[in-house]
Amino acid sequence: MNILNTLSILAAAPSEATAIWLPVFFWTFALVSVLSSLAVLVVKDIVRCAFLIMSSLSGLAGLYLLLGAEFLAFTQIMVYVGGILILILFGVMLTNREPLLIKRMKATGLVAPGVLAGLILFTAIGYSVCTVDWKVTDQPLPADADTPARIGNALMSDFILPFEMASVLLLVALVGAAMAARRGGAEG
Amino acid sequence: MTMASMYFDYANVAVFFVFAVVFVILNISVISVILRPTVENDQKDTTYECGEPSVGSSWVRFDMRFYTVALVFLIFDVEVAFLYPWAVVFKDLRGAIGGSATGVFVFLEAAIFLLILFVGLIYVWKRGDLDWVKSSSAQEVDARQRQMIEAKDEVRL
Amino acid sequence: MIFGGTMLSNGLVFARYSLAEWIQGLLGDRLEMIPEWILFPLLMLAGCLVIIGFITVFALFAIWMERKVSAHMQCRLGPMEVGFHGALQTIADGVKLLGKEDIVPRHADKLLHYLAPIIVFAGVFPLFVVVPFSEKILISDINLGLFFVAAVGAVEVVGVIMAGWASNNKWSLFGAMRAATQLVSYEIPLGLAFLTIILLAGSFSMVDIIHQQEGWLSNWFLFHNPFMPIIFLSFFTASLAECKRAPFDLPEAESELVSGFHTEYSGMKFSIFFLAEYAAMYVVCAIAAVMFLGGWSTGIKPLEAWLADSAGNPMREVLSNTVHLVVIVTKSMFLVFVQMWLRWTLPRIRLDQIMHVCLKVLLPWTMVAMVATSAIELCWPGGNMVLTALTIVIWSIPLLWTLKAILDMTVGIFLKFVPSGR
Repeated sequence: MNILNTLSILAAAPSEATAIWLPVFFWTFALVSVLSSLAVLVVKDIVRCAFLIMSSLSGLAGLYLLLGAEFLAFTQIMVYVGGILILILFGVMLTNREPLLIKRMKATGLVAPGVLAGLILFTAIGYSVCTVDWKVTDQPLPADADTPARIGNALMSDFILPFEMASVLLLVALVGAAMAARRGGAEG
Repeated sequence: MTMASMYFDYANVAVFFVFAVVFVILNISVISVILRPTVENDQKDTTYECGEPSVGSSWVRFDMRFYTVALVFLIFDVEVAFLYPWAVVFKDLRGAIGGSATGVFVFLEAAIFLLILFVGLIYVWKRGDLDWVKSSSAQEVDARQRQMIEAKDEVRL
Repeated sequence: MIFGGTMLSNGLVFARYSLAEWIQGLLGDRLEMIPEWILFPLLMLAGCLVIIGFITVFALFAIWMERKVSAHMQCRLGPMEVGFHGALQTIADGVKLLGKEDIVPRHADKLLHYLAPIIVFAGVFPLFVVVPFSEKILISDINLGLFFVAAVGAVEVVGVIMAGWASNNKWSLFGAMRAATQLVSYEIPLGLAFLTIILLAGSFSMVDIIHQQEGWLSNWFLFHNPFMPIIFLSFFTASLAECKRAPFDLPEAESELVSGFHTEYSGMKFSIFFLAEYAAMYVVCAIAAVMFLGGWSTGIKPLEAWLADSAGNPMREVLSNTVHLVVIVTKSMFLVFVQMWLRWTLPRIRLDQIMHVCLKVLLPWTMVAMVATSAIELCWPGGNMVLTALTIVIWSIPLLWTLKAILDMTVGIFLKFVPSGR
């Protein structure tokens, strides 16, 4: 496995290529996710909004990847782009009751509560981001930073209960989904 | 695996992605534009419906069942995502000789996880929510339930 | 010298071996004048070009093969005019498609209509990064290989829905909805099959998975225990659905939906969808070969050992890579052939049947088989000859039965054409 040797040499002395390309990727992913999130607010057509959410989510996955969280990044793509986005798209296609009514509805008295809720959420997130004592380090990740295996070991030792509770949560969601579908679905 | 090697692996993916996008754009918007004819014709731009003039927009409302399928899928998708870290450490934790205590524990943990969801699957299955085409008896049950819900809504109003 | 020969030859790119060395030989000392940050992407781009060449050649061949296979299965000849037995027919078709006008319907969402083929192709093409061809001929052995496939493979659905929606055509939208439902639901059995393999190999990486299956044929994960063929069958069924191949071809059911989600696409846009479909076919078949059929391993232990023993013998290394390349492509092509075979054997099934097969057959069976496999792994770590023998004995019964049916049929047809002597 001499490829690994080569690469470990490379990792020890971060190459010029990494130094140049990393910021490029960071700014690309960051701009993609921020700009498409902003576009979701502005674009009139809701189906296009749904597709913009996809690019926003993919940009986030790219950022996770740059942080070395491979597993998180691919879970993001698998669950959000491949799952939740499809759900949103189906939802959009289900809700439009009149043909051609795919434009965004006019805000009707919901502006004030919307702004308020947004402000509260923004303050909460901003507060927690500012107060948490982030452990910032410029050290490279340890060589055994094999994220899925680490997550696996953690799930099998310290986080057994959350792991099993996730299963119960999913069970509840499954039953709930079936109920929700039953309520509206019988009309065929 | 180190960060640097990871970056190089995914740099390949990035290059492939960009190449795919450029390749398609090149094909659609450059090469074929040079080679293909463009003959304006009003009829040609109409929606294709086997010769019939199309009526209305096709952006119509869809059946609820599609949404149900997507919901069920999402739940199992998350389940599978949870199991990937388990699967990758299973080999390390099960021990070299059969039936080590840790191994049994790890196995049981995942087995219980799956069992809980399996119960959910059986529940949904038995209630007929997985049936795309429902039997007439199941449809009757649905209709009755809908009536009950509607009655409740009326009371609330 | 920051950037030595070893680094290049072990490079980070396709054909780590020959291509990088060839470039170094070509440029010699001048190589160091190119900054590393330009050189690396360029080498990666070279990998892209090789892969796009492979996809194109594969698609040209596979389309011709599809037509020939279908024709011969129906006692026809298929394309015969262009080239030897119509071998150049696909190239002629490709040229024709290049010259076709690009029609965008008046009522379509023009932006999304344009973006859809890009997303579909960009969702399939990066998968080739992890598709291995041999020890040295692979783009990159990503640590999370199989998970990467599971994740990125899901992106294609979005493109399909986009195509159907943007066309503003009823056929397209119905096709897209069917496609989305089908693709989405068949990802679950696919994911469970991935899980089982990861469980056995203890790794996501394609190369690791193949290395686990080296040695004799009995080391292949397909023969690991009696439950593995169930996983294989469900994986193969799900991969048929993922490729939208018959009997799961409802998204583009010609006889009911014109052409499904790409009804409103013509010319190059249509061919991009086609190319992506055939590329996806190769990807799933190659991954099935890696997961169950030992990847590039020949299954003959002495031969493998002889090929691997290439210390100080560069010619043997080249030979080994060539043999492995041929082996894995042959395995994948065989699976591609089976896909085509099934297309002309089974009738298309209905959407409710598709959902039934996925949720009520594949899902419970794969779950049970996965738990059983992990229990077996727990009791007999690393496999067991008795279990392998049992697998082969149990599964040879349906296999032999199928072979007998095939033989009866083919011999029967053959006998029909033989003059009976009178």
